[in-house]
Amino acid sequence: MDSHPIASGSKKKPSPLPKPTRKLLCLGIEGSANKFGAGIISHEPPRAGTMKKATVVTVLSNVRHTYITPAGEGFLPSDTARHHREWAVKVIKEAVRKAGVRMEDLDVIAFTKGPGMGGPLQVGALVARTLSLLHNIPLVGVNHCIGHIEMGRQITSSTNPIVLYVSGGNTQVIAYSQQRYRIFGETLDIAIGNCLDRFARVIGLPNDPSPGYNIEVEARRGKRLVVLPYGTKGMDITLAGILTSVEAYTKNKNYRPFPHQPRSQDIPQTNNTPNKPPLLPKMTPTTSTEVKDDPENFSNKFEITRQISKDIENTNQDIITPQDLCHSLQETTFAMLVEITERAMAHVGSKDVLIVGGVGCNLRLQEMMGIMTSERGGRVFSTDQSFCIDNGIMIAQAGLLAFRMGKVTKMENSGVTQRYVRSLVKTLLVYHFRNIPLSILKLLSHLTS
Amino acid sequence: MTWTPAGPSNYLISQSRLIKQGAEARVYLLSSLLPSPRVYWPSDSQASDQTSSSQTLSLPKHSDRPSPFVDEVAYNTNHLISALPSSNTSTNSSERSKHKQTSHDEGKATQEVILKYRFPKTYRHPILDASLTRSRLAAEARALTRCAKAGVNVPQVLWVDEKAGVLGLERIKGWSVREILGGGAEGELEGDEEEELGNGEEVSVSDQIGVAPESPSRTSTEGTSREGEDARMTGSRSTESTTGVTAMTESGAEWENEGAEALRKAGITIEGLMESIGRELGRLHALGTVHGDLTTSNMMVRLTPGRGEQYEVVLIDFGLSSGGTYAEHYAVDLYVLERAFLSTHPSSESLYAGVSDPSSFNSSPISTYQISPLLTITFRSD
Repeated sequence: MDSHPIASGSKKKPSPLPKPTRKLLCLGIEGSANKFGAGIISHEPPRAGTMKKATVVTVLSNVRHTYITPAGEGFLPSDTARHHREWAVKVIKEAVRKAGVRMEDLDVIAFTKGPGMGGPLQVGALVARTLSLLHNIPLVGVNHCIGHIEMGRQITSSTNPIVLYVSGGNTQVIAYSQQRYRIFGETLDIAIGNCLDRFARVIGLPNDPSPGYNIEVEARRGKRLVVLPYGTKGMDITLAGILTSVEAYTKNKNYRPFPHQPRSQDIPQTNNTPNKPPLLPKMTPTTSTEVKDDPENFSNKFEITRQISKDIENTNQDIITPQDLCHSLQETTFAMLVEITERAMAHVGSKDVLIVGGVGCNLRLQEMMGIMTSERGGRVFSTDQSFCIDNGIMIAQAGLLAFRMGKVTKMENSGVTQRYVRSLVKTLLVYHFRNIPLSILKLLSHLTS
Repeated sequence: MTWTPAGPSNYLISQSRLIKQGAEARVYLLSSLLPSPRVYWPSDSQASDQTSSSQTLSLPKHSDRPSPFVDEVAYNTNHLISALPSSNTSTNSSERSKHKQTSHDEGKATQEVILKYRFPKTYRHPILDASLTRSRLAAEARALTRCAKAGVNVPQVLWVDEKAGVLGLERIKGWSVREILGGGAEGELEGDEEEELGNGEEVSVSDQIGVAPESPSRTSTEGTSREGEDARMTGSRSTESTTGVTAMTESGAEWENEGAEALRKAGITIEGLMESIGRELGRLHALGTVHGDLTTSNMMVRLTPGRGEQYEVVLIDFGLSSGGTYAEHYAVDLYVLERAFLSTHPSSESLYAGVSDPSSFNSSPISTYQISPLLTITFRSD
């Protein structure tokens, strides 16, 4: 309702979330896309003798394995599921070992219920069900989006942020308004991560460690800003046209493709590797986009060298490099994201922004968002790759919060769903953040569906 | 950080008062585009108006008459105005000012001007920013002119400075639909959240992978709650069950704000208002123009006593408007509005139904094809 009898409550009420009476352990299993992750989190009552009354949240382990496809290829659901099946047990074993706990110690197992790809989701759910039955541990199905948001809030200690959730499958601006989390803006077609990944495929960037990261690295060397459509529709954005038009530039006669495929060794390794389990037997970097036919390739190379020397002579040339395209794509799409986030901020009156999701670890996006928020007198919160990119610990965190609220998923309801209905997301969020009577929740979900 | 545009727009902004710091632009209120003249042109109509000292020349009345008494600056500005490309300045404004004189006493006194300054966004690439600002300003001015010509209620364009990114518009005296519906509590929420500090949870990341939290103690929303929430919930339970909106119109206590009060006095119902919004949108869309940012904040309600209708809905902020080529464009426009309705005014579905009621679109040729793509898009998004 629009009116609140008590607009700004001045007195505090005990938390709706029961404080843990003992140490609670939760294993989170995530496998909605091409990452399989497992993590163990603990919520403890405050230690005796300290002044702090807050629950102690500890990340005991956070292990992840990524299915990396050859350059120019995306990940197919069936292959990804195969990868997850192969790695599920190893990753979970590693997580349990790192955490220094036994399976029997766990209080609850959380798994990703959706949204995501059906096959990979099934694997995670199946593993969770098996472990639950083996060790007689209750299950909690978690919405992937909520996992991201909960973990972001936990790590960054932000109270009431506008959440920008940007990943391979989601692009949403979520804001807290009138006692509920609401989706204020989102993409009308493809997700930002999808747009970047597909573009990386077009220009032949490797998928290792991630296409988005490689675009970010290349973009730093970009100089020119090519004109791309700028699609903001109120608080929503549209990205499909941008992908098409940036692809069109690669067919432009002034476009100079990579003379050779950048090798993955060229790319500086990310800093979150130490906790990764040993990598898959390294897939040989594919040469499919690099070499077509010998004669053609030869003439092509010749053409490029000739062109480059010509370009050096002619300083006001008009060439477009892949770096320029990466740069332009990032600048344009991120400007759109920052713009809709700013709109939501102005609309709701919030000052802080929390960026979650895989694209959220892009430093340029963080920088742009930082400039915008500082001008508005706010702050931007972001996490690093271990928490930004899909991981098991965020599922564990959201699952344990739900468990503490008394929510358990029955075995017969532990199926997965590729599309989590949006109104359901909202309702669940309400459920997590505010202890609202169930009758009201049902009513709310009915109203928003 | 304060940005100021160059040239004459800079002068205008220095004379005006900042009223809104939006995401897209900064909005200033200028009491009049023309400086107050030292000597008034002696005319019959002025005699009765001498009472108000803040009075200035009304633009359309005097723009074609060179006045020896008006000081130099005003005279120059006059020329600038008449040279503006927007044709509605001369044609439409005369009608409007006539209507104003009959309806409002203050209408003829001063024409307040809203200056919309699109300041440079430093987060954006400078080239991208400059081109976006230029194209959006031009598009906005064009769309407003086109709408005004076709009789859609929009503010007049009074000043266009494309280089500086400043657009001068007529000020609509009234209330936004958002104010009237009482949606979107802004400061209130923040105040609440502040009080929850210090009762949260602590995070410590023992594992090596973990990034250290930015501060050792954290505050959590789920960790606390406000007192009176239960009371509020039970309070809203009763209204919830009677489908929000009607409850709002029936119980007089819900008319909290000035705008809603004024509408109620004029005998206007919320449902009637929604239908007017729908009609206004229908007229806009029939023109082949898509607003692009339809929210309840971007619709003003102005009372027009003495005319057939007691009020009119004025659409503002055409910053994201464009020409609609496909039915889908119009549908996206309506979809954006629906989303805005639902997110700022929860449980307002029945309200929105009034807006998108096909009967509201009866006057326009889009009545049939517009509704079906809207349904498709709404469905697709879920």
